[in-house]
Amino acid sequence: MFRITVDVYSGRPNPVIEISNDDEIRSTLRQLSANRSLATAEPPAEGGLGLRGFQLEIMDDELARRYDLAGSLYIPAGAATAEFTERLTSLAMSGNALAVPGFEEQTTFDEGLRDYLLGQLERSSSGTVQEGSDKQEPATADAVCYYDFYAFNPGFWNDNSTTLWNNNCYNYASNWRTNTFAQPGRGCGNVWKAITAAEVTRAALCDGMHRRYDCFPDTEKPRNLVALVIAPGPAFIDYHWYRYHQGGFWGHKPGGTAARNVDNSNQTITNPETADRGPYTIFAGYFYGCDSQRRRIR
Amino acid sequence: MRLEVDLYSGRPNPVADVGADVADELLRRVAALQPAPSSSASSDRLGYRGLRATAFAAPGAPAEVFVSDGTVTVREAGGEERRLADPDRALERWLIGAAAGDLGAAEAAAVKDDLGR
Repeated sequence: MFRITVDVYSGRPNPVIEISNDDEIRSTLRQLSANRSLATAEPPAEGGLGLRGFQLEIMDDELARRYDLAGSLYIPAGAATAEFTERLTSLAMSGNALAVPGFEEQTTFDEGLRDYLLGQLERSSSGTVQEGSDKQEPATADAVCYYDFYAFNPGFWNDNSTTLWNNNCYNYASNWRTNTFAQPGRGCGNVWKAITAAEVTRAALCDGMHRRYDCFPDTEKPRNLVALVIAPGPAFIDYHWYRYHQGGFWGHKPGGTAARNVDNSNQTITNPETADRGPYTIFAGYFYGCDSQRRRIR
Repeated sequence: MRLEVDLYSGRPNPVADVGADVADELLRRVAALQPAPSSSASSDRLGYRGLRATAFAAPGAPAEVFVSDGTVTVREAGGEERRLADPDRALERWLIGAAAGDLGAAEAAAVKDDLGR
């Protein structure tokens, strides 16, 4: 999934549209990956009034890695990007506009806005997007279930200060950037009430995780293998998550610090049960995340 | 001044508003520190990582002062950073002592436990 923010308004919140059509996402990112000069890391300082550009946010690090793109990209409006931004405009029409609290009636993306944007964009002759098969990462089997693992991509989490500061271990384990410091259970409306193995487990299951060996179907890919640990106190009480990666090691993101694949002794984490976890002394178990769970977290 | 204890992974870090007297004394002590050796270690780990002071009221004050494990990182409003040495973590000990009343007892105890090692 990715989000498109149409950078067009001055006083009102810009419309934000969530795109979930996988074919469209792959095709769009493939085109962008092949034409990197279309994008900049940040919006230009001299924006002006009216349509300025489109902010793209890729929501999971595997998608960003697959197309070798940053998690957040800005496509300035203009003749050089006209074809691609026209495509984004059409794509935005097919997505779901996200409500901005207090501005629900004002942030929709409708035909009137689409026509305005298309009118603003300078047309150029259309090109051909090369289609190719998407390579699927191999799944691995345990006794019963299949789960999925992907390459370690810490830059997605670390290179942007907003992403770094506002996403925690639960975001990383879920491979879903919310910029809300996501809490187990908040997405399902029943956030954790105490930090114990049983209660954080309950909250994560409420969000849609499964205990290990309670399988998810293929339709729930990516089914990440994750591990939960608890710091029981008495002074230091917290929880922490790890996610399994291609290469046989585990990654994690301690709070608002950088994602990494080493433990407190600077050793690559090959087993979260035996890694140096500092005060997180209770190993609470393995779980599977899944697509609906990661979309639910808040 | 806003003081964040960089402590947790899953939970949000505890944050306290600390009085101007503590903020002024922190800046006075930081001004007296010497540059840190270039090999000073990173504070990234699970558990207590350091104390982050922001939102100073004093004119010309830095945007952020991060005190961690013998090193003080000062980030100026313009974005430039400098690293200073905090021998024996003396500044860190003083700061947690001065702010302990503004923090939860458990958080203050967790920091003091780490400083005692």
